[in-house]
Amino acid sequence: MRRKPREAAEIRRRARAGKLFLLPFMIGFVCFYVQPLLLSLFYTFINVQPTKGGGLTLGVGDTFFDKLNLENYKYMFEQENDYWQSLIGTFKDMAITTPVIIIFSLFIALILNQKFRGRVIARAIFFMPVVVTSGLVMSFITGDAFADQTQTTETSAIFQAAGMSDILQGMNLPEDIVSIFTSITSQIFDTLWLCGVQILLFLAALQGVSPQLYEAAKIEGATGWEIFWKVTFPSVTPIILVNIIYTIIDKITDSSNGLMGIINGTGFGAFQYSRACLMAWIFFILLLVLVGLVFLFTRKMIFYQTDN
Amino acid sequence: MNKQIFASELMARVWKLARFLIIVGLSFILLYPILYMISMSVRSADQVADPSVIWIPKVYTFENFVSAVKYMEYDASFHTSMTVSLTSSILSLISCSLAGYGLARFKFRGKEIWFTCVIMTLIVPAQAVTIPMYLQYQSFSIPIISPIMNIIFETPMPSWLSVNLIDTWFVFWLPAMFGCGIRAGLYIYIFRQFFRSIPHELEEAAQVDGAGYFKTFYRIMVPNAGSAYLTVFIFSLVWYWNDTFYSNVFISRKATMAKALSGLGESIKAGIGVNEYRSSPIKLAGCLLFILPLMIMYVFLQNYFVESVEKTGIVG
Repeated sequence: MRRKPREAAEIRRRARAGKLFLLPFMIGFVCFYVQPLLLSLFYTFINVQPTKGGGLTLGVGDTFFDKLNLENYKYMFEQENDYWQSLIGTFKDMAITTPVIIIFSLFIALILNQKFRGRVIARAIFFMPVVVTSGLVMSFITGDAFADQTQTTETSAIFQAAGMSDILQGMNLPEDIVSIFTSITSQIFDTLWLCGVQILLFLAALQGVSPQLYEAAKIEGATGWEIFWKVTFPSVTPIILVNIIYTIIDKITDSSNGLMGIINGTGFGAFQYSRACLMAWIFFILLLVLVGLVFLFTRKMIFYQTDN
Repeated sequence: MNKQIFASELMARVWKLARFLIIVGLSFILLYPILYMISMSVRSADQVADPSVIWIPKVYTFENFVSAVKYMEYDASFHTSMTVSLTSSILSLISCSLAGYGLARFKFRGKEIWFTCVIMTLIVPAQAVTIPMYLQYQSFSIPIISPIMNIIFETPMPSWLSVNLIDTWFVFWLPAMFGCGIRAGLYIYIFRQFFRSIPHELEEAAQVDGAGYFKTFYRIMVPNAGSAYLTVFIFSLVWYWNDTFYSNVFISRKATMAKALSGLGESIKAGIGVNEYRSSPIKLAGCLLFILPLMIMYVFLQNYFVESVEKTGIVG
């Protein structure tokens, strides 16, 4: 069917307006993502060196093409064992913690979504990490501040280090139970502290589930367990995907983790700009592949509520 | 029948108790570090290692806070951090809400691709772009043209056309202005989801009255999107406040609070020598001072915040 000319003009005008609203982002995306990403890809093929005056030399060679080489790639695959180990470690760590964080935060969100006395206070406390938390503060209270007292454990040592174990020992509990208790609380703490945003997103999703669905399920005589798997869970599946991706990115690109430390050290410590760019690119591509896979595998499982 | 009712009643009771225990336990675990920080930072150095002092110190002292204020140069760094976080967040808010509205309410070719680009910005690790960005800011000129001139024709841009932005706050403002600030992709996503949930009738009414698209946006949509703006503002402020990565790379002279805090250990070492027992309460006092502004903001806004997150249904 042919549209009337006036309608077509209106559609064109709306399209132009839409692009205009997006224009700042379009410019920013090109200037602050596309250009630097392409440049950093280019740097991996040359040898970028800082000069004394604060400038840069872009490789050695008479013409543009003479400068291009694969030295950085060779070095990368032959010498940089620390980087590869740290890369594998980071991805492994993420593979373990992501499901834990997702399940835990869904559980907390389900509890916070129920009606009980003191709900407002409980929510305020559980969302506090979103506001207060940062790698900086956490590394500070768990790491630096107790550098002399902590053992070299992976989990934060705050509950071992700080009065907690003294209190428990004061209650005449056996040593073993005290240490089990403190390590469990430390782990819960570590997980919980990373869950703020995820809990928030899940809670928002749970609030969006229409009450009619629950009522219908109750009338049908469904048990709480059935209601969860048949009504609640399908409704939050889109947010599970968002949360998985958020958790992966949040955990893996946290500038306080070891891998990022190596990349920063190579770039801004040793001034090996080209190698640092290559490290970041390899990491970026792996992350892209991972996120792509997550999308592919979860796409079929997601249930989209039809818009009314 | 009676038995069944009794059983379900019992289950409900047990669940209520379990829920209570879980909430109280987890709340305690979450509050513990803050209580611990408070308890440690108000005691004098000789009580830090005293095993008879567990929670409540025998003598209260504010010395640690005084030292932390001194070593962190609290006045200056607070002022700097506040200015930078506030200005960058406001710029982010403007650019991200525009982009979110554009993506939510208009149809145009390539919209899906641009939305993917928004999500992509979240995945790009900062490390992959910081080195070229550093060089770009060092002699900031016309983007795209200047790197081509530099690399292929080996002629730097004329000096009257380029300016050094390192050590200026433009390194935060410029990306924020163009919707590429810290985690801006997430904010654009939140705004998009929110604007999609506002009924079309509102806009149509305004447009019938002859308002243009932009006027409709700031007259009708912005006033209705208060909760989304508040949510994004809090997120943004927190992330700018906590940033050490960008401020370490791009800013060397001025100290933000985050930088002052991460360097606090060294400052104390230089000031009073290496003594863990004396420095750890000062460090914790510094931590408290660092999160204090965020905490105050959170206490005042948390009601609106939680509510608005629920209302916006970030999720849509």
